[in-house]
Amino acid sequence: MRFLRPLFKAAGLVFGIAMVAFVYKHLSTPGPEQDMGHLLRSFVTFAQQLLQGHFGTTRDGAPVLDLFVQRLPATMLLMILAIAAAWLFGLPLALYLGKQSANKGHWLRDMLAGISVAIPVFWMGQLLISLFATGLGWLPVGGDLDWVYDIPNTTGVPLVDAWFAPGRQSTEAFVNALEHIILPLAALTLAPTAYVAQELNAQLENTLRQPFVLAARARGIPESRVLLGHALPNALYPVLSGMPVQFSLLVSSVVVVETLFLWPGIGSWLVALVRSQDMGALPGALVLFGLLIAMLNMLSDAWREWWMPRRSI
Amino acid sequence: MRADSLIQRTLVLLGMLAWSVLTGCSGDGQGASRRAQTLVYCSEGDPATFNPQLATSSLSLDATSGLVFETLLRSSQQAPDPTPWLAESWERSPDHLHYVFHLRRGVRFHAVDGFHPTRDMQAADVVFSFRRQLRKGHPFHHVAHGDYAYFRANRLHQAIMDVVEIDPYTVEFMLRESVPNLPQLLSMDFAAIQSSEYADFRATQPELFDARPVGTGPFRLTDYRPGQFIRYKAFDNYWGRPAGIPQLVFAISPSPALRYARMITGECDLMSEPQPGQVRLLKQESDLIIDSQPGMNVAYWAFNTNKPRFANAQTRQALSMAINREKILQVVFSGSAILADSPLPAGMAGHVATRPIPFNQIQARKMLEKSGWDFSRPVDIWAMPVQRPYNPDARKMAELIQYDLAQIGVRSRVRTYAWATFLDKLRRGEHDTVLLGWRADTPDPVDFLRPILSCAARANGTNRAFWCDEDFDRWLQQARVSDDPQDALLRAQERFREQLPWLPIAYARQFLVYRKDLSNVRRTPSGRILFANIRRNPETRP
Repeated sequence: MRFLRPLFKAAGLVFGIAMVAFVYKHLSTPGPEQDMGHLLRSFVTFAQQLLQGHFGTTRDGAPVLDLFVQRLPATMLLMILAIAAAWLFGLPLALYLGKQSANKGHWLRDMLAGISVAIPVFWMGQLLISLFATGLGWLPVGGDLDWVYDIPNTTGVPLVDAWFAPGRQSTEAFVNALEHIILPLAALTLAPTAYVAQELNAQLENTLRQPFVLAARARGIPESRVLLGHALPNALYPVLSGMPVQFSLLVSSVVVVETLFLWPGIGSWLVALVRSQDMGALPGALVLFGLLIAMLNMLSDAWREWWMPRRSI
Repeated sequence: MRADSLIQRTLVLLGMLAWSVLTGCSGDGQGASRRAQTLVYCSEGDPATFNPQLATSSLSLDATSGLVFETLLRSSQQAPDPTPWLAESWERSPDHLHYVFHLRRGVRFHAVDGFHPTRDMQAADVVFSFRRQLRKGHPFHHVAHGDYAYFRANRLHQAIMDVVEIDPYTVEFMLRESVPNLPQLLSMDFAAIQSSEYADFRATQPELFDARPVGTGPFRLTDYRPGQFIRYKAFDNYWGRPAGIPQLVFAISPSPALRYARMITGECDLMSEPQPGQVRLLKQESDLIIDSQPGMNVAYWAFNTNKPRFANAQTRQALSMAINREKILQVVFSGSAILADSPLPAGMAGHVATRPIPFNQIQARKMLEKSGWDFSRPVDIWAMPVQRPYNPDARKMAELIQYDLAQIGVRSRVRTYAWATFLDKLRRGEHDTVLLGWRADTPDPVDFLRPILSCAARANGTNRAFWCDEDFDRWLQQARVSDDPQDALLRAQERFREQLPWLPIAYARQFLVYRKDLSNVRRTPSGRILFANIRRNPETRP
């Protein structure tokens, strides 16, 4: 039963999203008034089609599922890199702050709190664009690769495609793809970085006051080893267990970031479908997006189970 | 060993990245030369189709016509009559019912997806291209919903009896009724020539025939990713002068702010339709050229004459007089438009400066009172939700009109809907008044006026005023058939000025922004950019 619970949760979530998508479609397509019974029947048909794997087609006749699968890697890459970058920058930041006196305020600490709470991601993204793209001209405004590079599209992510493509052009294309990912990644990773730095710092301070740290210091173990070898692993534990929440929070920011930076993932695709009011594709796309979120939630539940078995009852 | 080389490669790449970010240029000299080999055009959106026969929006026509597809004849800015293109010459029978076209030899079609043309363009291809649009029973007629809007709007489905092959390089058009402007019509985008051999190749998957187009043009389509880009490569076997730049990319950039940003950063070489407010900023960029032409368009405020309260010409005159159009020109067009008094654009043949429509709110109020106007009922002003070259901001325009109407005691409401719904409701005539515009496809004034003001156009919904005036229609017909249409056009415009089914507001200037190192950037009379002619001068690139 315990293992089935996340499954039920996911199914409930997807069902809810399917219902919202259906109602949205019906409200926005002008047509004759219909009674409840008819609505219910067409919802059942809609649900049946979803269960059979028919997620509809776009106005151009392309299957929604194909487009979703094509665009998924770009989104996943962005999200995974954002989490990786959060640790790459968050960990040293936390350690640095941990060395500062805990009682005194530090400007970095305040700034992190500000970034994580006060700066909306769309504003941060626009700031980055006007600073580094249109202002200084160092980085491109958006997209994932300069159009001059014509490399074969196998994974849907030029960063990966260019790496494996042969020839001299591929190296240039890879560098160019890296340039394109910097700004969206920066905008996306800011919030999780602030989370990692803040949370880890708090946990470190907490851990450093524990008796076993005192004992370690008393045994004459060097301070750096106390910090990295004893305190850090214990402090990491609760921070890591909070990561799944960060990951699902990323899903909503990734929609904004992709739209802003024209990143060809599922987020920008979804927004484009809403903008063009493509009612043949939108419900299916929304359900697929919901399915993705449900799956991420399930994965995070499993992760938590593995990390903190004592939490489960 | 493997791990070592991987680390090495990573280090080299990181170094290159740092270098390129710091110096602001991509890669090295090779990167720069690759840039010189590519022309990037910031376009406004995704094309609805890659078949110009089916296309109705300039987005679709820009992406196909003249690039991938070509027509038998071609119209140019210099000459009033079309010039030979895929046809080398043509003859017309005295009764104007038979046209014979002699085709150019050695015209090749593109190869795509395993299709390799085995022969040059021949009469069979021309016959296919027109029978597809003409005959309901044709195997390709219904592909992609088969609505050949321009073909039908010009009544060719009624006028053409058949298109037949006389010999492999000679085609005859047999007509039921005289079409004096057939050569002009055959130079329009919808008259694109497709390959019948390719149609046979796609017989089992006809929808791919339009999605993966094969034409005779200077560019062939190689890659399309919706919402991102369209990629073209110069066609090596092109019969004419080859394209000046080997690779052409349409960078799809829906928002004007994005197109502007991509021009500033150098990601795009060329953009069309900047917002009027951006023009001043773009002018400050030293490496950009801003080309402006009087646009072949008109922005207007149409009254739905089907509704009783707008059926009276007096009322329409009065409402028109209340509007301060100079102010609209300043605010909405940032001064980049010409005040319109006639429905015909100022740059078009046959345009006459008719009696100007005055701005006089006191008189307007008096006239309205005299006509028995019901001041208690508000007027709905429909503003389109999209930005078009002839109207960069319909909503703002609607608000200005709302203010002017309030001055004479007429209450009004601004209405807007999602674009598709908006057009649908307009077609059904649900509006009181609407702010829209029209853009020329050919330099022909009758072609311009007929779809928007003739009685016949009421049925297909492009006559937004639902105005039908026998006098006006007669003058249009006369302008069509007579050798000297000037007088008939003058009378048609005067008739319009008396009746005022809509208030002409502005002729917007048409802007094209491009980098200084490009030369020979031109448009066709219908506004298509001639990408194949564009050259890049390497020495002027920094």
